[in-house]
Amino acid sequence: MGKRFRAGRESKSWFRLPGQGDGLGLSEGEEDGPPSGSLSDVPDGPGVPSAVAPQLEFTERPANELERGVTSPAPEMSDPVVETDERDTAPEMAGDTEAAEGGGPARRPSGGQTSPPAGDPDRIARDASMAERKAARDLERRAPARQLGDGRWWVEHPVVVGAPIPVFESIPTAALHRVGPYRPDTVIDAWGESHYAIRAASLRGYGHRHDGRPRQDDMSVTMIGEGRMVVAVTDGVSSADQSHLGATVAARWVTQAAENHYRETTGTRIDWAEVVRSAAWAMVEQASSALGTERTAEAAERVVASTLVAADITFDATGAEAEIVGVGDSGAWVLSPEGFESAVGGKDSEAAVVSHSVSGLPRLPSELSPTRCLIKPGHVLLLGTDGFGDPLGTGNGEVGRLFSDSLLGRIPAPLEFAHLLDFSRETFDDDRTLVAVWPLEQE
Amino acid sequence: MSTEDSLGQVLPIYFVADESGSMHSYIGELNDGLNTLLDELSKETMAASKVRFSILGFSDNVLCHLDLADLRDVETMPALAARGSTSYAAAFNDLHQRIPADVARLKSEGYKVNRPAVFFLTDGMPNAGDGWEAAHTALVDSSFREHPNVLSFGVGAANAENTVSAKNIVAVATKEHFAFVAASGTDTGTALAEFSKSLTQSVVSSGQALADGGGELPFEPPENFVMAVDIL
Repeated sequence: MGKRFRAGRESKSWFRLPGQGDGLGLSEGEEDGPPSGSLSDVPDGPGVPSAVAPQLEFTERPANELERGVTSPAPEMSDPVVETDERDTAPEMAGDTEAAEGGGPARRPSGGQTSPPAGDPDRIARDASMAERKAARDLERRAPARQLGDGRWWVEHPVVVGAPIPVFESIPTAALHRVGPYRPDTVIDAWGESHYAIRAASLRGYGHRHDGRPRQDDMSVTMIGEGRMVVAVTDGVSSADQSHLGATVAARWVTQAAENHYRETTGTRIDWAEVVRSAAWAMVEQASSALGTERTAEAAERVVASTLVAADITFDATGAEAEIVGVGDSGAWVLSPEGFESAVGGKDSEAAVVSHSVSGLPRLPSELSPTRCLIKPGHVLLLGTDGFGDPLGTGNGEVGRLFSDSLLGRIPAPLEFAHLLDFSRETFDDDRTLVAVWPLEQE
Repeated sequence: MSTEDSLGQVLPIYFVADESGSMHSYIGELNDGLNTLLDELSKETMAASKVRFSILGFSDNVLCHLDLADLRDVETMPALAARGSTSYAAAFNDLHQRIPADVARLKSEGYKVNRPAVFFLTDGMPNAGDGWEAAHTALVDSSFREHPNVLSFGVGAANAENTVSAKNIVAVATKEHFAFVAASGTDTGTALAEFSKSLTQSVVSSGQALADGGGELPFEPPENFVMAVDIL
């Protein structure tokens, strides 16, 4: 790598101002308090029946979970996107690309600046902000995807929605975060049977690629019985240094505990409270054994906290029924031709100012009430982290359109699914995990 | 672009600089610092996309040198200039009016807005009896929905040797450990250069912290500064 993106990277000993509780986030009418939920209910010892105690070793993988490390697009070492002098103005660029459509009010220095009076045609042309014009030029420089006619396609850049994130090559993961086994940038999984199909991807966000942090999201998907699937999607809370380990333990524990439960009870409903409580305990155990923390939920929370959204899905002739639980701000949606309907979680989009007090495992919610929903053939159940949920918003915008166009009425190839999820949109650079489940019409 | 779209989160940062007459010899250091900040941000476009920056100068009154802006849109930084007295009250009253309007504008553009941060820099004592305490309370009270985090910095006559002013610096900050004064014997020009470096790092790393979904305002105290609360 050249000098690009170097500035500011050598963060020395950052003095952290307390944020959660009294920091940046506030929400309408309430001061950030400590995250809700309880730590006291987490068993602080191995109080889980051995029959429900799934394998925790990282070397053990559920048989049906395939991990494929997918490398990032080829480096664009000669791409001048960042270093080019962008300060020339080219009024003809304004408004001639999608990225420039935002327009927006003029944002220029005031006081001491000589700018043409409002209404001046030159000024109007310049009012499309520099950032938007840069984005437009950035887009023009990107090589378009090419289909080579023999099934091959060349793709060097992500799908762009609106203004893109600048092009850069990921840096190596910092030593601080290389705790635990090798952690690829991207994990993709996919399979299907006559009555359903799933596509799943967990990707490192552009922010973590840029800063050398690992993917803190994870997922686990398992068929626990005939026509019965359990999905877990987790998002390590970034204030905890090794939260990627917590995300992995939580996701895998949940699906394995659910599978054990299914075997023992021959298919009754999952006792989510017990599964989630034992997952919290597994995180405490993992933090203690792998990181040497004290074996308490409080100590574990500081290093391995993670959100969770999980679903127990039963397929039948009429589609699928899902029972969904969530801890923290990961979410679940049902996508139909009418749009995205939120089933669980997500963030409060009405809050005055953003709140960052994410509550996650091992902190247990005071109440865990599963949401049930029916998914008809032709509709898609989605479970995702906020890296997907935040840019999706209500689902009625451009990101929603990208996914409804791509997922309704068709099932994308696994790599196409991951490529979609890797879309580039300014300011949205969190890790993204999405599991999509299609119940299929049974013949 | 559809209004249904969320454009993501941004952090408004207000740099509130003392432009009183006594800053005359040092204002060039501050202006250099602001230009460096702009250069650094142009190299950190991903962080820059999440920060909005405003520059206010206060003395008898407040001059807005830069309306809350995406620094990627700013070609040249405005220049601060020394003038007049030191009215803290003018600064706090201005912020109290300005911040809600800025937050509302960002939200109407489709952004989610993080709690604003104010970097307040002064080289002296506030004007006597100008009622700044009440103006300050109105700004930082939690009943004011957009109440910002305030970090305060004392240089020049407000350095560590001035115990009276150190108390003011602590009172201005929203937390005791957000208040800093230049260490005794530190040349004011050097202190301002260090302050600027720290401000720049904070702006860059705030963008990165948002990238990380963190709710913390990362800040590295400037070199040659000490915590004002430690001045007895």
